[in-house]
Amino acid sequence: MRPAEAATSFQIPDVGGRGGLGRTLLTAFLVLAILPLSAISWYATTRSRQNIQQEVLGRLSSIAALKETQILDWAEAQQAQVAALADGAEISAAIFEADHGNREAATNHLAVAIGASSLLTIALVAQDGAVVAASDPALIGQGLSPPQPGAPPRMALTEGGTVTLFYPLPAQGDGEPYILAAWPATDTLREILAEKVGLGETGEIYLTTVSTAIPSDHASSVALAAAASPPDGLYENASGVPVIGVHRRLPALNATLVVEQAQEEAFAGNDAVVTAVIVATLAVALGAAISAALVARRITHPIVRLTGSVVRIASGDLSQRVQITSRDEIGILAYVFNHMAAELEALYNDLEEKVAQRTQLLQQANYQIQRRAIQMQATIEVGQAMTSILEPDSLLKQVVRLIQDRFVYSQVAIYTSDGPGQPLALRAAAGDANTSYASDQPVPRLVQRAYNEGAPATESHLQPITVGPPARYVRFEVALPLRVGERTIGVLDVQSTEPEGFDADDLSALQSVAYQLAIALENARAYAVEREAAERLRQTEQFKRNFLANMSHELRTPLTNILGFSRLMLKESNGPLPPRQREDLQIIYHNGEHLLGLINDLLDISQIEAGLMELNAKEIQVGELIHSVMATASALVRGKDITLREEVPAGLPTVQADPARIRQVLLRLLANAAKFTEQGTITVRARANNGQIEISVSDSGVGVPPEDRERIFREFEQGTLEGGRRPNGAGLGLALSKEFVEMHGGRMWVESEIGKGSTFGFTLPVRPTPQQATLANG
Amino acid sequence: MAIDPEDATVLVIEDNPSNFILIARLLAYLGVKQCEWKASGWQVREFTDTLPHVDLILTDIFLPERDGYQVLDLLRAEPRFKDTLIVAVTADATQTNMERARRAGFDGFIGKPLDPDRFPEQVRRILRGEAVWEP
Repeated sequence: MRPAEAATSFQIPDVGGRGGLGRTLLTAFLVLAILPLSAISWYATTRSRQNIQQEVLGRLSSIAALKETQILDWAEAQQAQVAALADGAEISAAIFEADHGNREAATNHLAVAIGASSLLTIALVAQDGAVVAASDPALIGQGLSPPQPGAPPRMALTEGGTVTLFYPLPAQGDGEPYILAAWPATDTLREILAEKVGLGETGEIYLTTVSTAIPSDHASSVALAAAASPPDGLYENASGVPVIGVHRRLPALNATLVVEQAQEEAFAGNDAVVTAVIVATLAVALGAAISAALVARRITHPIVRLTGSVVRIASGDLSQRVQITSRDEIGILAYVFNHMAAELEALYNDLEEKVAQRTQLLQQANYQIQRRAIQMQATIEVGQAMTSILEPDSLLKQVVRLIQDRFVYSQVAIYTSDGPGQPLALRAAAGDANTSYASDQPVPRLVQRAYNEGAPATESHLQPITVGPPARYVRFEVALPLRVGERTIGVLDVQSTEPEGFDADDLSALQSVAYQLAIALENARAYAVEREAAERLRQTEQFKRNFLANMSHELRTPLTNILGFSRLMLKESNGPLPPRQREDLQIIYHNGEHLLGLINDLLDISQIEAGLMELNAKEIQVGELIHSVMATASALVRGKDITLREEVPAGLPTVQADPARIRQVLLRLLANAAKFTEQGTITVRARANNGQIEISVSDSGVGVPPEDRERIFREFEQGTLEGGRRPNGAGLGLALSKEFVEMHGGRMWVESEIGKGSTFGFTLPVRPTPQQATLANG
Repeated sequence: MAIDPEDATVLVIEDNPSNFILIARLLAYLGVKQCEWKASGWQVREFTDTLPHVDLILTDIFLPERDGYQVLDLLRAEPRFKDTLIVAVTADATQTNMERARRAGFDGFIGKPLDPDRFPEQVRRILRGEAVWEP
C-alpha cells in the first residue's frame, strides 16, 4: 500500500522571488568581491589624481616663479627707464612750461623726452589727476588716479592690457608737484606671458587685477577668475572651463600672475589610470562571478539532486537513492540520506508485510465472527422455532433444515426414542442429495454410541465422492445426545465436509442447539400429554353437558307420560279409581314430580356451568313474592306440627330480579326447613338493610353442624336428618339457590345452632348492579 | 281471531307415541275433534298437503329426519302456513332454547313434561291468539 494518494497532494514549496541557493551564493560572492575592488580602485584613482594635481601645481608654480622673475625684471627696467627720464632736462623743461601754462611747449618737451626711450607715451598729471601734458596729445585733459605726492612710484595694470607707471616728480620752485605717468610698451611683457613652455596645449598665463587682466595671448582669456585672488588648485576660470591653476601676487604691478591649465589636459594621464583600474576591476568581477557560479553550482547541484530524491520519496518512491560520492558535508548528507531512505524502505516494506499479516488475521477473525453471528442467529432461530412450534414433527423438520442451512453442514439428522433404553428412530433429516439417512437404514454407529453413552461423539470418515472424477473427501461427523436431566431422549447428528471440520465454537453452538432441542422435544411431549389430557377433559365436559342435556330430554319424555297419564288417572277422567289404587297412583305422581325437580336442577346446574343461564329480571315486590310462595309452602308442612310465619314490613323497596328464580330459591329454603324440622315454626322474614333486601327463612329444626355449613352449599352435598338419615334429593338445591342469588348480585349464608334451628338468608340489591341492569334491559 | 277448539284442526308432530296419545287425550279433553299425528319430520310437507286445513301445529324439536326448526322453516316457506300457529312442544325446555324458538319464528313454546292440569288451558289460550311461552 504505497502512499500514492499522499503524493498527489504533495507540494514542493516554492523558493520565491529571492532566488535559489545558487543565486544567493553568487550574489554574496559578487558583493564580497566587487565592493573591496571598487573601494581600492576608487582609492587608487583618487590618489593618482591627487599626485597628478600636486605635480601639475608644482610645475605651474615653477613656471609662475620664472614668469614672476621675468616680469619683475621687466618692471624694474621700465621703472629705471622712467627714473632716468624724470631726471632728464626735458622733463624739467616740460614741468617748467607746464607751470607756466605752456602746455604745448610742455608736450613738445615730453615728445622730445620720449624719443630717447622705449616708452610709448608719457604724460604730466596734476595732483588732482588731470593730465596736464602728454606725449600723445589725445590724453590731455583726461583724468587719471595717480598716487598722492610723496608716495613711491607705482605701476598699475590698466584697462585694455596696458601698464601705467606713475612716477611722482619733485616740485620745481613753488610750482605744483606733478606726477609723471608713463606707458611702457608691453610687447616684452606679452612675450613673457606668451611663452608657455611646459603648459601643454591648454595652458594659460596672464596677469590680472581685480578688474583688469593682461591676457597671455587672446582677449577671451582676459576675464578674471571667480575672485581677485583665487586659491591655487582646481576651479572654473572665467570662461567656465574647469582648470587647475597657480596664482602669484605681484605687488609691484598691483596685479596677480595666473598660470592655468585645463583639467582635462592636466589630468589626461589620470584618466588612463582610471580606465585601467575599471577594466581591471571588471575583469576581476567577471572572473569572480564565473568562479562563484561554478562554486555555487558545485554546492547546489547535489542539493538539487538530493531535493529531487526527497520529493520522489515523499511521493512514495522509497527506492530512491542519491548518487553523490563527494567526501564533503553534502556527501555525508547524501550518505545519511541514502541510509535513511533504505531504513524507511525497509520499515515500509516491513510495515506492508505486517499490514498484510494483520489484514489476513483480521479477515480470519471476521470470518469467525460472521460464522459465530450466523450460528448465533441460527441458534436463535432454532430457539424461536422451538418455542413457536409445538408439533414435534414439524418442529424437528424445521430445526434440521435450519441447522443445515444456517450452519452450512452437509447433513443433519435427529433421532429420538420413545424412552430410555428404547430403540432410536430417525425423526427428521436434511442434507445433500446423496444423503445417507433413510428411515429404513440402520441407526449409524456413532449416533448409537452417543445415545448409549449420553455424551457427544465425533468421527471423521474418508468418503468417496460419487459425482465427477473418482476422489475422496473427509467427512466429519458429530453426534450430540439430546438430554433432559439425566435422560437421553435422542441424538442430533451433524455431518460436515468443510475442510476445517468442527471447531470448539461450532461444537459449543451445536451443543446449545441440542440442549434447546432436548428441552423443546420434552416440552412438546409434555404439551402433547397436557393437550391430550385437556382434550380428554374437554371431551368429558362436552360429554357431561351432552349427557345432562340428553338425559334431561330423554327423561322428560317418559316423565311426560308418567306424570301425564297418572295425573289423568288421578283426575278420574277415565272413570273412578278405588281408593287404594288412587293412593298408589298418588305416590307414582309425586315421585314423578320429584324426579322432574331433580332433572330440572341438573339441567340448571349444567346451564350455569356452561354459562348459558340467563336471568329474566323484572321489578318485583318481595312481599308479594313471599306471600305467594307461602301459599305453596303450606303443602310442605302438611301433617307436621309446624307453624308458618311471615314477617314482612310494609313499604319494602322493589328489587330487580327474576321472579321464577327467586321463587325457586325461597321454595327450596322452605322445603329444606320443612324437611329438617319436625315441629315448631318456620318464619320467613324480609327487611331492608343498607341498600339491600335481606330475606331469611328460620326454622326450629335440627340445625347444621359447623363443619357442614360450607359443604351444604356445594353440589351433590347434603345435610343430615335427625337420626343420621340422609334426606331425599340429589343435594343440588342449596348449591343452585346460592348460584341464583349470586347471579342477582346478592349473597347467601347460614346461621345455625345444633338442636335449636337454622336460619338461611340471602340478599338482593335494591339498586341493580351493572350486570343486572344489562340483564334487565336485555 | 279466536278459534274454537271444537272447530280446530290440530297437527301434532311427535315421535313418542305415548306422548302423542297423552297430547291427543288432553286435546280431546279440551274439545278438539280434529287431531292429526305425524311421527317425524320426514315428508311433513307432503303430509300437510293431504290435510284440507290446519289451525295449529304442535311440534316436538327433537325429531327423526328433520328437527322442529327445519319443519318450521319448511312450513313457513309455504304461503299456506305463513300465518298458521306453530308451537314448539319440547323436553329441551331451557330459557335458551325458548329464546331460540322465539327467534326462529315459533308462535309459542310449551315445555315438557306437559302439565296435564295446565296443558288444555295453554292450548286454549294459543287458539285465542295469546302468546304462550312457558317452558
